Amino acid sequence: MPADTRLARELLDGLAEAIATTDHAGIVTLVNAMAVDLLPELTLGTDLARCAVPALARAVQAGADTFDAEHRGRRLRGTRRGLAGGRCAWYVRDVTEEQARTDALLAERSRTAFLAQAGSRLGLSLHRDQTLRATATLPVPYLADAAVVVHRPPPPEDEPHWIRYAEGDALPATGVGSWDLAAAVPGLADALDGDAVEPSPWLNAEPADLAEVLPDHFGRPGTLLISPMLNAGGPAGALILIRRAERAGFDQREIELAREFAARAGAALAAAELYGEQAHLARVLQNSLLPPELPAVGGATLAGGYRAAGDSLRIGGDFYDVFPTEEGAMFALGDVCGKGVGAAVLTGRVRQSLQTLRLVEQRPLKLMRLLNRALFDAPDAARSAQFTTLLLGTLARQGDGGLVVRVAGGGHPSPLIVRADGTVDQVRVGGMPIGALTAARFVEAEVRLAPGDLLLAYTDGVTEARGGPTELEMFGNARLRQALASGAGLPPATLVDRLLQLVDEWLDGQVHDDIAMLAVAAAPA
Amino acid sequence: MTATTTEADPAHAYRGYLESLEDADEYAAVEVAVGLLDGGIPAERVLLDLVAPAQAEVGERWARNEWSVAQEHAATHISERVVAAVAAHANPRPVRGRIVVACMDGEWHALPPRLVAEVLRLRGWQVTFLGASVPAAHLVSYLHRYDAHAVALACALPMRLPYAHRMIEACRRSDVPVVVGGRGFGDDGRWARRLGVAWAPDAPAAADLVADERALRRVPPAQLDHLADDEYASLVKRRGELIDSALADLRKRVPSVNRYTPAQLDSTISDLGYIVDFLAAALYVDDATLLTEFIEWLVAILASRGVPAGAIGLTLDHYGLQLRDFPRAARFLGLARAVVTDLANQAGR
Repeated sequence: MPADTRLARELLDGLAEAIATTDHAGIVTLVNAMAVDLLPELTLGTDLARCAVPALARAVQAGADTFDAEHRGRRLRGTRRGLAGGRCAWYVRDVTEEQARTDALLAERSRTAFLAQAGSRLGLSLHRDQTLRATATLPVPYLADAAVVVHRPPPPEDEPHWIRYAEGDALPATGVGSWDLAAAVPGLADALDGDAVEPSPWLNAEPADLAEVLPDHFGRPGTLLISPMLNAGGPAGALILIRRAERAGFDQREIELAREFAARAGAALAAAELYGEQAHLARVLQNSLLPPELPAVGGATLAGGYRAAGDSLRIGGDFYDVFPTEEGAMFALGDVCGKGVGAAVLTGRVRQSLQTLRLVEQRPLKLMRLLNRALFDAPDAARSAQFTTLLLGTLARQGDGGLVVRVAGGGHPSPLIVRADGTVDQVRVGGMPIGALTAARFVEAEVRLAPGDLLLAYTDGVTEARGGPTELEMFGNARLRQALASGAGLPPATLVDRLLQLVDEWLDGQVHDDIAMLAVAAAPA
Repeated sequence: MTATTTEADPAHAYRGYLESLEDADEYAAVEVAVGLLDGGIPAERVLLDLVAPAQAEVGERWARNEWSVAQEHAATHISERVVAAVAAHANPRPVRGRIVVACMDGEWHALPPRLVAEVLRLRGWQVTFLGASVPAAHLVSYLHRYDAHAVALACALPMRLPYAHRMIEACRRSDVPVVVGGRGFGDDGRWARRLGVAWAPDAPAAADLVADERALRRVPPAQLDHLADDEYASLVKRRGELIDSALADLRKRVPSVNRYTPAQLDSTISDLGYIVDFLAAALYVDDATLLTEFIEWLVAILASRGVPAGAIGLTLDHYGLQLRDFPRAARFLGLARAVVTDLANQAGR
């Protein structure tokens, strides 16, 4: 304890902290030099509880030990410590710079987090509408109280569309705008042309201009920031960020952030549009190669089952087709060697040839020969060296409710017949694959399906599915026959589902060849 | 048809409906359902109070060995036709977004998700039902192609949970919220919580959930830190070897196994595989009850088919010995073993 009061005074004045002491009644008894700087309102004799530093006065009145407030443009943080005799001291620090650094760090962190989240959400979707929804929802509430994306949908649409998301909305709302909208909102036309526009306070524009894109409950907008969303080919749209009147305007960093976000959203939208076009193209091609919906055939019930080796496009080298005829139907089930898109294209050719040739020839054996020549004569047949195994048959209704099946085989696994009592027979039709030899030989057989019997044609993807506990064993004929026997009497659709399930379980997620099945039974009376 | 007007209540119609399933009489079953609709019962109630409980009963009867697999399939087929008829009858106009409903890859229990799909359709959603066993790649390409508001995935078998998780993640990467359902997630949805995905106990709950996008997206993250011990991944790698050695062990201890027909052998091998798969799934979600509940069920199923539970106990012992270096797996197998012993004691009493 220095006895020298002058030394004590000098020490106090040299501190970077402001110090003020009070007596037992709360009257200021001492202020150091820093206190004079930071809190000039405090002088000797000031009643601290009623002083002109509101945060401090409130703290004293409330008996609090700390305060933290802006005062004269500085950020001050004070702590009270009790002294002997009911006196006390307030230590007040100027934390302006420290606070600014912390604020800047937090702002930078939240900005990075926002961009990271925006980047991952925008990168996820390959669908245009999903990208638009993400663009409208992501900036709320971090950047704005409401966000509106005005965009041009792909041709033939001409009018600009909009999608909006405001804080508190469950879902974004969408609508069709008019070009008047672009003209009415200041800066929107420029942004749609690709120019960046400075944020504008909501001056005297008619609220009606934006009314069509603002939610009813939103109230009067404060500031507007319009950013162009660019993609490779030019502007993809514009992002309008809207803040309510109570909220501060956009600062420079936020403007940069909004621009960056809008640019990323524009790129994501462009990628989604490109994907959309290509997916459409792929889908059109794919639809022409997928197994058909089976037509209704009087007197017979049919069901097909199909599982392609490559899963995302679901097209492959196995196929089936059913064409109704006067007596019943004609059916085909085949397997083009190879898999994937290449095989699918040849599949398409076989199916188209069959479609045409059946108009001139409906007897299975003769049609098989015709088809063989047609495929063999195709210009690039020799080069591609692809061949097809095929079953081709006709169904004819009988007066007693049964069906007569004539089936010709071209090197394909023989179809199986499941009798109502559970016996399983093979319809022996060997033959040679088609499209490989001009002199190929084919075989035809005829069987009768009584009500309750079922004929199953399948491709070797079923019996050659490798799986089971060793992951190498084939599903095999015995398991197929066993499954058919236990499913005797089931309707074709149910039996096909059951077989697909059994093979799928056998495979247990392993890669497999294309699988196709076609089941036929006499329709129940 | 005259009876339907006085019986316009699913509870009254239930018995007759079940009989038509038993007789595999598709037309009678459809007639009961359409009769209820004509009597003014809303389609949603017909689906949930008639078709759903009847289908549950079908499953029970199969489990009790009262019905063959073929009978079960035939009844399920009829239920599907009934659902189609009810849907065609109601034919609601879609006014809301698109929901994709699918079974997980390898999942063939398509009727429960089909009911969910129809309930969603009745509530105005535009629903695409992709059916049974949808490969993940197919589902994802579908989600990229169409603007789906949400995707609803069904999983009936807990052993498919690791696959389910991959599928859920694939959907998330397409930025489409996912809601899951089905017994595979536990009767209280506890394994859905573990995987960090929104879960609905039934069709109406699923409909409420998809209507609330915020709730759909607000899901606590998955809690799968335990996978760091690698037990799950190692077990999956050793699956084939474990089944082989378990079969060899059974042949040695239970001589009658050597006289099994190929079909009996196949089904024994399937059961050995299921035990490994359920154990793997239990490790994946770190919950022994996934395995013990399955073992209880398996013992009951085998008992109803006259197969003693002893063989399961032997297999659990065998796996436990093989996996003694896997602390979690060994503990789960021990708990499962205790269940078998308890059940055997109860049966003996």
